[in-house]
This record gives sequence, C-alpha cells and structure tokens, in this order.
Amino acid sequence: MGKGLVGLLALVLLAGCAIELAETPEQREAPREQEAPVVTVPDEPAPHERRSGDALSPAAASLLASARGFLQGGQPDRALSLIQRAHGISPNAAEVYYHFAQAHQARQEYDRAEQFARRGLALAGNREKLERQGAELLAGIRHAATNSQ
Amino acid sequence: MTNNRKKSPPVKRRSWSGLFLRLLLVAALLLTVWVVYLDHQVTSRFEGNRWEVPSRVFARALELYEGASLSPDALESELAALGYRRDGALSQPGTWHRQGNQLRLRSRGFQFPGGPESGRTLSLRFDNSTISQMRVEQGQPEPVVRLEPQAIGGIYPAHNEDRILIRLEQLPPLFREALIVTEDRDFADHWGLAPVSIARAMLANMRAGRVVQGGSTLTQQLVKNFYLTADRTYSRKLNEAMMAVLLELRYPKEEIFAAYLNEVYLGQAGQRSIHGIGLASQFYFGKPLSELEVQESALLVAMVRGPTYYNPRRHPQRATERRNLVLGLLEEQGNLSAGAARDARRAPLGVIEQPRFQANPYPAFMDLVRQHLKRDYDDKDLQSSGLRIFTTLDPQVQTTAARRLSETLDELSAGPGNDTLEGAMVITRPHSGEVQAVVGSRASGAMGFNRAVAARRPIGSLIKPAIYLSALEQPSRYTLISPLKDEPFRIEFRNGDEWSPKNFDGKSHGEVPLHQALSKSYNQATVRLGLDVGLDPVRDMLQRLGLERRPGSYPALLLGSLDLSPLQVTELYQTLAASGYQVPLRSITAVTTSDGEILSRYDLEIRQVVEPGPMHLLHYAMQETVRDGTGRGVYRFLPDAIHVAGKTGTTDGGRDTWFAGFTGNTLGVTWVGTDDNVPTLLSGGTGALRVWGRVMADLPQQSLAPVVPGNVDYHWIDTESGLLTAENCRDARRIPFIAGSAPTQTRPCGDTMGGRVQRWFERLF
Repeated sequence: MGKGLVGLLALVLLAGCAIELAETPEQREAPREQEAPVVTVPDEPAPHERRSGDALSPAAASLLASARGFLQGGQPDRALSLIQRAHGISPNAAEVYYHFAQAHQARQEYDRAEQFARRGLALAGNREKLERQGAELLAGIRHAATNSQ
Repeated sequence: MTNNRKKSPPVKRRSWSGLFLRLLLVAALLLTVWVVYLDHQVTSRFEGNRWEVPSRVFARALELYEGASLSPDALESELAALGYRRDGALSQPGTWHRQGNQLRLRSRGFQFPGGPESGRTLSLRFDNSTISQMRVEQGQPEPVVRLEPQAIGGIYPAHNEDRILIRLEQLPPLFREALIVTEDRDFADHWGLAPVSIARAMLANMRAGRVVQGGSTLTQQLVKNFYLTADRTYSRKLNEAMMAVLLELRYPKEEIFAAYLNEVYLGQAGQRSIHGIGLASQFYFGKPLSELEVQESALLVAMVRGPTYYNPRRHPQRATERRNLVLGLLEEQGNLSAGAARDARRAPLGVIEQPRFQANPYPAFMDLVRQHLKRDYDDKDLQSSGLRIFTTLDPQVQTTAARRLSETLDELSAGPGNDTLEGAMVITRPHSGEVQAVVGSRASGAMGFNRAVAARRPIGSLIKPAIYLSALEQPSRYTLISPLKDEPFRIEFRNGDEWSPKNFDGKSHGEVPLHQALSKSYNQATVRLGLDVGLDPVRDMLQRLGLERRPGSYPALLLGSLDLSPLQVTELYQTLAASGYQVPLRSITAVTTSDGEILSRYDLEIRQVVEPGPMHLLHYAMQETVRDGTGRGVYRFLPDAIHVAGKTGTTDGGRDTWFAGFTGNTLGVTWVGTDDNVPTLLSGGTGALRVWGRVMADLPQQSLAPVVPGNVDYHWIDTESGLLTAENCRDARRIPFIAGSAPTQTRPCGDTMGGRVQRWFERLF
C-alpha cells in the first residue's frame, strides 16, 4: 500500500515534470513535412563522460564474422570490404577498428594497422577485455613491423 | 614501217582480248581490294572494344539490417528511385509491397566490387523510423542485405552515345523471338542477305524511282548502324550487303545478334542518344532488361523500325498499334498463347513518364567525383571503357540538403538587402570521410558555379578551433578555465600599420575563461591567445588538420583571414569530428571494369594528428558553443537530447556566414553569402546555421558522444574562482582536464543544504 502510494506520487511528479518540459516555451521549428526526424539517443545518462565507445551492433558483428573468414582464407581485400560495411553500421565500436588493423597487418601495412589499432584502443576505453585485446593486437603489429624491417 | 602496218591487225585483236583480260584482272584486283578493305573494316571494329561505353556512376548502396535508422517512407522513395514496382505477389525481382509498418520486397541482386549480392525476398518491420525486424524469406539468409545502388550518372564520350552492354543470357523471355519474327525471320539461316526480301524491296524502289523500302536483315541493319552512314544510296547499299556477308563469314550468329542488340538506336534524351536494348529498358521502363514483360519487350522491338515515329511517350497510339502487331506475330508463330497475347495487348504501355535518370542529376557532387578520378584515370578511359564508379553519395541526404538550402535561402532573401544570397553545403560521415552530399548553389541540380568546391572565401571564426586546440595541447599552460583577457589592444607592424581587433558585438568582456572565449567567439581574447601560443603552432595545426597549403604568417590569420572553399573547411572539420584522426574525404570507394574486376579501391584511411586529450577538451568547448554560445540557434532545429559540436563564422558585414558542426553521425559545413562579396544582414548564427539546422533536422541523427580519454578527468569547478568545488554547489560546473592540469585548491561550498538539494533537483529535470 505504502509502496504503491510512493509509486503513484512519483508517477504524478514525473508527469508534472513531463508537462512542464513540454510546455517550456522553446521556439523549436517543427519539421514542415510529415517525416519526423529520426532521433537516436544513447541510453546512458551522461554522454559527455562516457568511458568507452559503442557496443558492436549484431549486424556489424555478423559482417565482421564473415570478414574473419576471408582473413583466415588469406583474402584481406575482401575482408576489408566487409569491415568497411561494418564500420558504416558501428563506427564507434572498438572491434571494427581491430578488424581493420588485422586486415592491414595481413597486408603487411603495419603503419596503417597501428593507426587503426590505436583508434580501437581509444574506443575500448575502460572495457578491460577490449582494452587487453587492443593492447595485444598493437604489440603484435609492432613486433611484426620490427621483424619485417 | 609497212611490215609493221601489215602485222598490226592480229596484234589489235590480241590486244582487244588482252585488254579485256587485263580489265578483268584489274576488276578482279579491285574487287579483291574492295573485299579486303571491307573485310578489314568489318574485323577491325568488331574485334576488341566495339563501343565507347560511358562510365556509370553509382550512389552508395542502402544497407538493410535490424536497428538501421530508416523509415518505411525513406525506403519507399529509394525503391521508387531504383524503379521497383508495387506488386503484392512479388512476382519478380524489383517488386515491393507495403502494409502499414510492414514492407516486403524482392531485391535484384548486384555485382558489387567486394563481391556479389544475390537477390532476396525480404520482410521488414519498422518501428519509430527504425528497422525493428528483418527476415529473409527467400534467398541466402544474411543479417545485412544491400539493395543495388542507384545509377546517378555517367561520364560520356564526346559523341554522346550512351549504352549499357548486355549479354544474351540477360534477354527476357520471347525478346529474341519477337525481334526475329518482326525484323528478320530467316536470321538463323541466311548468309547476311535475304535475296527474296531484297528483290521485293528493289521492285518497290524501282516503281517509286527512289529508295523507299529496305529488305535488310538484322546483319545488314547492324552493318548500317555500326559501320556506315545513314545515306540511302546504291553504293552504300552495295557496301552494306558485302559487309553483311563478310560479317556472317567471320563471326557466329550469336555474336552478331548480341552486337545488334547493343548497337540498335532506340531514342534520344536531349543530347544523349540511347543505344542498345539494355539502356532502352532503363530509359523507357526504369528497370533492367531481364525484368521486362512480354508486352514491354514487344514495344522495344516495335520501336526498332523508327524510334522517333514510334516514340511511346510522344505517340502512344502509334506505339501501341505497332507493339500489338509484334504481339500478334508472336501469337501467329505459336510463341504466345491466344490468352497471353490478349492480356499483353490489353496491358498499358508501361512507359515511365520521365526518364528516371537525368544525364547528371547531382552536378556538384559529380564535380568532386571527377576531381578525385582525375588523380588515377584519364578522360578517354572514363568516357569509353564502360567503367563502373562506386561513390559515397547518399541520394536522400543530397536531396534533403539541396531542397532545404534552397528553401532557406528563399526565405532569407525575403529580408532587405539579401536578395542575391547564394549558398553551399558539404555533408560527410565523420568517421569515414565519405561525402554524402555536395550542394554547390541555391538552384539545386543546376550545372554552373559550384561554390562548395570552387568558391574560396575567408573563413572567419571557423579558424578558432585550430587556435584553441594548439593552446590545449599545452596542458601545463592552458586549460579550459585559463583566464583570457577580452580587452582592446593594438598591434603595430614594422611598416607603421596598426591593427586592433574588435568583437562582433563591438564590446569587450574583460577576463573570461578559455572555453567561454571560444563558445562566445570573442575576437580580442582569441587573438591574444593566438599570439601567446604563437602563429607557427597555429599554422602547423591547420596543416595537421588537413590544410594542404601552409597559410601565411600574419596576425589577421587568427581571425580567419584565410580563403577556403566549403570543401576545404570540411577537410579541417573532418579531423575534428573524427577525434583528431585525419580521415581523407572520399567521394569514390571503388572503380571496376564493366565485368566487376576491381581497378582501384579507395579504402578508409586514418592517421592520428592530435592527441585524444586536447581533442576532447575542444569538443567540450564546441558543444558549449551550440548550447550556450554563438551557435545556440542549433537547438531551434534539433532536439535537446542530440549533442552537437559546432562553430559559427562571419566575416565583415556578413559578407560570408559559415556554420560547421557535427553530431555523432553527420558532419555538415554550410556557407551563405553573395557571389559579388557585398554585405548581408546575416551572421553565421542566422544565415548558415539556419540552413545547417534545417538540413540536419531532416536527417537521422545520433548524438555526439566522445569517449573520455584515459588521461582526462572531469572535476567540479567553481566558475567564479576557477577552483575545485563540490557537486551541486552554486556556480559549480563539470569541466574536463588533462591529467595534472586541474586546479588543486578547493573552494568550500558556500551553499546551504537546501540550496544544494534544490540544485540537485534542477539537474535531475
């Protein structure tokens, strides 16, 4: 009963806030056509201070999986085409950049590979597993680059 | 002498016959030369590349997957542009059907540079302008499916002949039969000529006293179109006949038939002549040849006799009659049942009203494509080798940007003194540098001066982020809260000149924190900062961000006295939007041969030029610019929840107004001004920003959400003293610092508990 009352109160309060928000005199221009703008808002509370990039979307993950097949089959070019499509879908996911790095590493383009690995690492942020993966990848690329000289 | 005379008669006889023989020999020789000559003509053009085929340019392919930001309306317009037909049964590729939020489609499949995409039947469900569910009903299951890309133009040879080459396997059912029964029934058996037809034609011509009828076989028609002029003379007819025979002797029937289908002239689109049934199918029906229904095939066959006379757009009645004649012949020959023939005859012509492709519907974007192509290809290859060029153009973004820019300028022009306003805009994807749209003028779609690429104008305050970034790279000297003096001062040059920068509002603002000097775009504080940092580091920074030419070293540089095109500005801001990674702009992703073999790839490249720490701090101040500074007009167009970083720019008298800004998925740079450099009553915040806001509001936006680098920490700062304070204290603000640069002293929170709770609530809502 008590909980229900608190819940109700909270609901009323929230509704009040919502109304207040809706009524603030913002002179935002309404889109003139019916097609409403599409808005994707990240569901975290404070996007200013997020500590890691986006999670990989399932669609991008499936493209990366196919890309790995081509990488293992010694076809980094075809892998790159798929990774770029994955990048179009999840441009803020560390995994995508790691795959770029691997494809360039396979093509023995170590400078490029390193750039992508570093970008991926920056996006991995505080996600430990991803950070570890990135660090290992980067170390591997540097090692290969040294050996190739 | 007499002896000689006596002997002469027999000699004369011999000489007559000898002469005859010689003449015969000469004739035979001439005949041989003629035949050899014609044979050479026949073979030399028939071997290798037979046609100068223009390069085809494609837009980006639309990717369909669960979670994609796409409304069903947007998908519908994409399908319409691709020539898909509504068909509840999805009876063939290139059809679709929609019921409310559910859309089913049957895709065609396409040979992409990275590999083929097969045709599939898809069922899509939409929620809130997003694909919430996608199921592959038929075809190989894939979580991500690409539609074929829109053809957005071509690069044409000088003679303006256009064609899409086809192979016989691509012929729709009954096309071959329809053509043969109408134009050349003995095609399979003759040697290039059909004597009965010729005799009939000659008789008719003799009666008329001029050439009125042709008895040409398909082979002769091919020879006529392919090798000869259109003169109707007997000598040309003779050449034609001989060449037809030679062609038949040299090449198999199938090859001749395929060549005919690719050569035949089927209409005119302005300057451009439509050759071959592959292009004709697109031109008249807006779909690929393989999708033609029997009455559509019959119409193309009908037009072979006279594409102008039987033009279905101009003379639908005539065209229908002849089409039905072709259908009747098919029925007569037993190729078509009586019922099917009746249905086909009743069907409308099915010709699309406007040609679906203009020669160059996106001229400003194509300028950029040509510029990029020039690096690797010469004009001749582009005009004649039938290359396929895959670009990054997003037709929906392009159309929206062009329309909104034009509308907004019409509106702004209604004000006094703004009637000659012009504008330009470039839109890219910040992470990949892919150029999605280029608008070069107010009159969208018009050729002419492309301001986005060619107009170089002073960039004004758009230069400021480069100055602040140079400063923030030195955390031991500058933080976001470093105090700057926004006060008048004078620079004296050695030659006696003086310069004293002024603020846009004519006022000075005293001591202001660095972040505010940028967000409010204070000139006096900025020039002081720039001079303090040094002109060279600023010039270096501009180059690191992507400026090709090193700018001169003069103080006015600090207020943007640097002429750049909107495209060049986009290059600089691209690096800012990509968190300090230089990402070269790309309008092309790949070039292939007509068979799909990759000639060049333009893959994503990135190169870090600025460390993540200072970049993050700059993003902070550029977000403040649109929340609380000169760019706050942005939120008249976009919802509050979308974080944006941006910068306004205005030059003296509003001659140039700029806005450059980016969300999480779109970077846009807009210029508004006049071509003759006269003052306007606008500023960056009212002119260019309005265009930017309108365009961005119409496109799917993701919030900008930069990742905080490991060496950056946020602290609560008392804005008055610049010291550390606690959350919910009066005047407390959360500000990022590069490790080691944050203030160490704390100012006690002078607030009451009640005040802190109140502020907590304020923040919550």
